[in-house]
Amino acid sequence: MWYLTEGRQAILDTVREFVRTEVAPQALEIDATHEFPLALFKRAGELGLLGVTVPEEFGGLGADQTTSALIYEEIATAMPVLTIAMGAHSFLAGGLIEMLGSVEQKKTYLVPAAAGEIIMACGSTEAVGGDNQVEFATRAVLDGDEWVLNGGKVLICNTGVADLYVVVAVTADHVDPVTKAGLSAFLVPAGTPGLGIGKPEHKLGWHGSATGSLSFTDCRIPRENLLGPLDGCLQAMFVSATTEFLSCGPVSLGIAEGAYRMALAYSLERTQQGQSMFDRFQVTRHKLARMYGEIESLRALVYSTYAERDRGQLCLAQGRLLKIKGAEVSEYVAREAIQLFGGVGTVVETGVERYWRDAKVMAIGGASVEALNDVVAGLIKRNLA
Amino acid sequence: MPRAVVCYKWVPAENELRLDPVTRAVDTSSARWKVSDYDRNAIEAGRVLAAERGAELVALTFGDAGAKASQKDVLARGADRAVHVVSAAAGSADGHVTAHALAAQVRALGDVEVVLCGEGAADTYAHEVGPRVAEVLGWPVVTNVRELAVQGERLHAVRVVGGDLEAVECDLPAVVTVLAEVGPAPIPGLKAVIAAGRKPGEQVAVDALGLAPDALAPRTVVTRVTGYAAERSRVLLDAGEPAERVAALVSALTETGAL
Repeated sequence: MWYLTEGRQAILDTVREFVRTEVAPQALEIDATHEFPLALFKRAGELGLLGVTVPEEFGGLGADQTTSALIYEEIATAMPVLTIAMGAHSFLAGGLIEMLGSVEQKKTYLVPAAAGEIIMACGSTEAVGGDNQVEFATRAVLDGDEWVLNGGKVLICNTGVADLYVVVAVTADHVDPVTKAGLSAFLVPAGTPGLGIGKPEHKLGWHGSATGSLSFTDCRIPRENLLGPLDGCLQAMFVSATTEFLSCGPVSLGIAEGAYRMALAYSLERTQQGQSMFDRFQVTRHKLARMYGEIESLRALVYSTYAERDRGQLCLAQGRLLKIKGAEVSEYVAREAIQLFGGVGTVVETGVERYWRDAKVMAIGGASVEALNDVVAGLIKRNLA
Repeated sequence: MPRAVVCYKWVPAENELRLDPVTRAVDTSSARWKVSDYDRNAIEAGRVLAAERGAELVALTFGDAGAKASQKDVLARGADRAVHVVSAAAGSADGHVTAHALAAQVRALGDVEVVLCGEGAADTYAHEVGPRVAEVLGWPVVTNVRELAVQGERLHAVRVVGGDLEAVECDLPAVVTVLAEVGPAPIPGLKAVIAAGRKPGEQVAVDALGLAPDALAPRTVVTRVTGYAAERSRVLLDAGEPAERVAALVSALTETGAL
């Protein structure tokens, strides 16, 4: 692969060893129990996988975005939900702290976060809709030297396991419908009185992501826990969301590869009338060829986009395209993989149908592909794509 | 500074080998390559030992040009320096040739107080190279080691001998071959992987070691490698009452020699 420099290959080899020996053996159990993969998350921190793009001075590797993509792709081949937890921690919460935080805040939170010593979550989405910020109801009011938060968040990953929540709240009279000014970000430690944690949702896919709700009832935090400028966190949110959407490309690629590898191996091993399914049926061969083609097309899109990102481009439209295209490809490949397994493909213990469930959530989680298409269209119209 | 040397082999990942269903020929073309499993344990044991002794840990391999790719891995796992003895004929070398090449490089390094090897390589599992290196060097060898310590100029080890444990001591320098039980081989962190790029990796042509032609002439030649797979008899005993079927099963197993 053109993007695999010697240094990236060495990192990929190490991550592959982690995935093969530690992640893959636990994938079915995590999917079955819906337990947050805490031990694996901590191991990811020990190995340096939680701060790949974080500057070295704040405990990270200071590596490029493409290296991060390689890591997410490889882990997603075995356990996509681990990348979801990592992304919420590193890209959403960590991204906001990196962009908005003071040096002291970065040292306080990014250093232990990169090592996996603390887990972070980002609370933005509300019941009115994730991108409907003008109707957000969670408010923060300054009372003396404390901010007082009231309101609630839904569908937040890493709830219950997080040590720190980066929470977006309305701080102005209203959120400007055009500029979206009026939103601020806050650092809310777990255990703060008034912070309520809902039980994890029982979802179609991403089992183990600890996705749940947050509530704030006169939740008081110190004044200095404001993250970044008052009323002005939305631009940083847009950029951190772009990073998260970008990461959906390699994660979807990994999901597709994981399902494809299982289907290919099964088609070569399963025999009927003395022949493998692969050799006996043209339809099997053609399905696999098309799945392979879709995967390689997505790979080309993912790594060319990441190369642009590493050249300093924000990739606002391309980042969203990776999530859109990634969701399409991963869902298609996983669906066809189940089809190639036949009846046993629908059996949970076979381990292939979970890829489809995880792929399906990729089309919605974080932002639906429909909402993202609309953003892309807006960027096209403004000649920003 | 004293040195500890870990000898390792760069092998195809056994779980990625393909078997021709008709000829059973082993196809390694699509397999990724890796540091042999026990050798990873040896590297970690060497890392710990070198740290205790204030020694430099050198990771040493004998292989063709492809083995250069192994150096970043062993450096990430804790070696201070990696040396690759290069030979285009390494793929057809036997234990005799490999041991002479490794031993010659150990001599060239100088100040080596211990050489560690994995008990066997993941591909051939011949258990030969460690004892042969010791023989060439004229050093004591301790095999099947699960515990290892150096005190002063003496090496203390616990060997696995069948179902028993044997504690042994010998003078340094010595060669030790280790089992996986010597200690886990941790996956290196990415900071170590990145730092490995800044550590020295060297290539030494085998011809530069001054070995006699006899030392580089294999004593054994591999003529064929095929995969091993159990044959299924595909016998179905479904006639008669359960007691009759059990009797037929016992009879069939007795005939095949299984009972």
